[in-house]
Amino acid sequence: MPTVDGETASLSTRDVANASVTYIGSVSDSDQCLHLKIYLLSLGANVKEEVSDDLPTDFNDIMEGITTLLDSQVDTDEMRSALYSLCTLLMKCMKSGLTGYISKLCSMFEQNGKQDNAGIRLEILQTLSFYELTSDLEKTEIFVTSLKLAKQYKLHDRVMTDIQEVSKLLDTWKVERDGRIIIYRLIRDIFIDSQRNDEAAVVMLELLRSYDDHNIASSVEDAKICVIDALKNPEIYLFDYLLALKPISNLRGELLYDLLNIFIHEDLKSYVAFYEKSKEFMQSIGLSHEENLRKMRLLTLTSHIAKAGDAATFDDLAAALALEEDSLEQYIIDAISCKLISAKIDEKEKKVIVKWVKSRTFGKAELKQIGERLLKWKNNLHLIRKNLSTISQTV
Amino acid sequence: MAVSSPLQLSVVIHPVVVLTICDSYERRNEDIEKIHGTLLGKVEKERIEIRNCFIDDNPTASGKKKFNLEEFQRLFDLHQRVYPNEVIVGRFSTGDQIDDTALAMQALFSRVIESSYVAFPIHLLVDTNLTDSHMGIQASVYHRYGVPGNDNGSIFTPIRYAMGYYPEEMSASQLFQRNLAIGGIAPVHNDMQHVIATSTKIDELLDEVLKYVEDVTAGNTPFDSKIGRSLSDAIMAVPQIDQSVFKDMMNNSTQDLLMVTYLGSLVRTQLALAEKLNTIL
Repeated sequence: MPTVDGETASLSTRDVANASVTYIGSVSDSDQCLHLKIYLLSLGANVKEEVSDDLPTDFNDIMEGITTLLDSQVDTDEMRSALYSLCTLLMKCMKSGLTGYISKLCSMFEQNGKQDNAGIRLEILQTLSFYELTSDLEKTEIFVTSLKLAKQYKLHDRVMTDIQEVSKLLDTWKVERDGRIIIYRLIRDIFIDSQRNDEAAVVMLELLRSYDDHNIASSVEDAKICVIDALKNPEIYLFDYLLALKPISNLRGELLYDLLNIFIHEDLKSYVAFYEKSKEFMQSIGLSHEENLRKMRLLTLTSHIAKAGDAATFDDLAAALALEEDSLEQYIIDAISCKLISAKIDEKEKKVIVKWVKSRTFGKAELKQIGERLLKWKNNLHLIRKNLSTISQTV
Repeated sequence: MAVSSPLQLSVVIHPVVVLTICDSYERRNEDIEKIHGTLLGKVEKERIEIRNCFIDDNPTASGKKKFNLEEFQRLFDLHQRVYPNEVIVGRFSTGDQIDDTALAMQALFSRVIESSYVAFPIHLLVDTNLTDSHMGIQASVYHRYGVPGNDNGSIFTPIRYAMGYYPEEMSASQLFQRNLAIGGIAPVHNDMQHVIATSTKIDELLDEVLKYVEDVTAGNTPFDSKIGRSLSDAIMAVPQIDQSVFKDMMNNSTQDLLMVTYLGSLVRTQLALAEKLNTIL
């Protein structure tokens, strides 16, 4: 969503749900059909020239000819207004109680057409999803088709991919588990294609959350992708949140699960030992050993500093990280810049003075500590308020 | 690159626009139901920021008066003098649905000012009737449909938008919300009251967080390490000061502040006195 000086309020779901399409025609339905038919005929489509008085019959006939339009070379504006004409006819058919047209249109849009008109197809689909007679099931189908089109034609900015908004919509449409999995996978692919890895990771989590006991068996592939993506991401260092996901704890017993556990709990030595033992596996999942070493060094540094308390000496750290003392400093700086620790380097005394350390796993004990700090904060705040009220009364 | 599809647009509406529409609606002639007008704003690539609007010359109930193009041009020129970089981005109307007049106006606008009209004109529908006691705001894009040579009608397709606030607008709308909460007119806070109000707010939020922590440690709420981590990040960002040190700091600055306020009022009194003396003498 766009921002103005950092402040936004996005369109609430209620407003989306209430939005409606308005169309106002200036000719009769049969004239509109006739115009479209003549136009399609001029493009070489195989449609009947005469119109019946029955709108659905005409509409079906026109639908047959639309593929010709989609594959033709007409310019954007012309295509848009012709397709909108079709769109209004479809809405009129739906108004007279006929169903099934949206599915038909979705599959037609998915299979036919050129790159040039993919954007317009997306527009038409979006318009139909706002129409009041479109059922939730049809809206879901439209959304899936739109995502597929966006992925196929690389129109990533034309579909809604904001994961929170999407989840909200899926809730309102009451989309079942399997539908969600399909949608989340598509969104993940779109993010990967447009190199937005962080967002892809978020979608992946949402995807894994959609699995439950009934279909956990089919989650293995997704779970593996999720773990590998996370390990690959150079900006993610803490992985304990992954263990809470069922599909991932389901991987227990696999090498990947062991590797993940090393990244969560263990140190550099265990990683190196694991690597020596399972070199082939490491190659098969495509993780870079160098990058892993870097990550593991930072993580080992973090836990070492956490154990050491207020200060840690260079010697100890260098030994734990299997490094020369010269290259140690770079790792400390890296750890500070990626916010694993907050510390100062004391060159003279050859030690690191620690302010705080992020814990690699986050449990209830840590939460309790936070609780205590919050209480302290609250008390300080009370003091401020008391003082200020006295002052404001005096003033 | 030019915008080729309305799906790329990101529409931002400033609260001033909605308030102006409501205000104009309130001031309309008694015998008319709906008001119509023009939206102005800034267009930057795919971003349309609706920042201003003005209403059409009010038609009377006695008959549909023709749209007063001269009046419109006059108002628009005046606007241009104040905000030269704002262009016409669309139209607005009130009510719960887009009516024929709104449609006719859109058609007229795309004809009359075709060259300077945006590629995808916006229509803003503000439900001043408060259907379902909710003021719905809907933004749509106006399209013509039909085939070459045969124009068959118009369609308005909804489009997502966001409300955008400048800092001034933000504080004003926060003030309005306070009014709503107390059901009257809340006084504008001075600096001190602002700080107190904000710290009260933080206090409430802290209570909420503390409750969550308690619930989790007691086992009533499932534990989520993600929330825990964000909490810890937030706390790390706040400087940790010991309570006694903090007390001293606070007291010292309080004394300073009181001193400054005292001196300030002293100066003010003196000035007032001098002025009085001057007038008497």
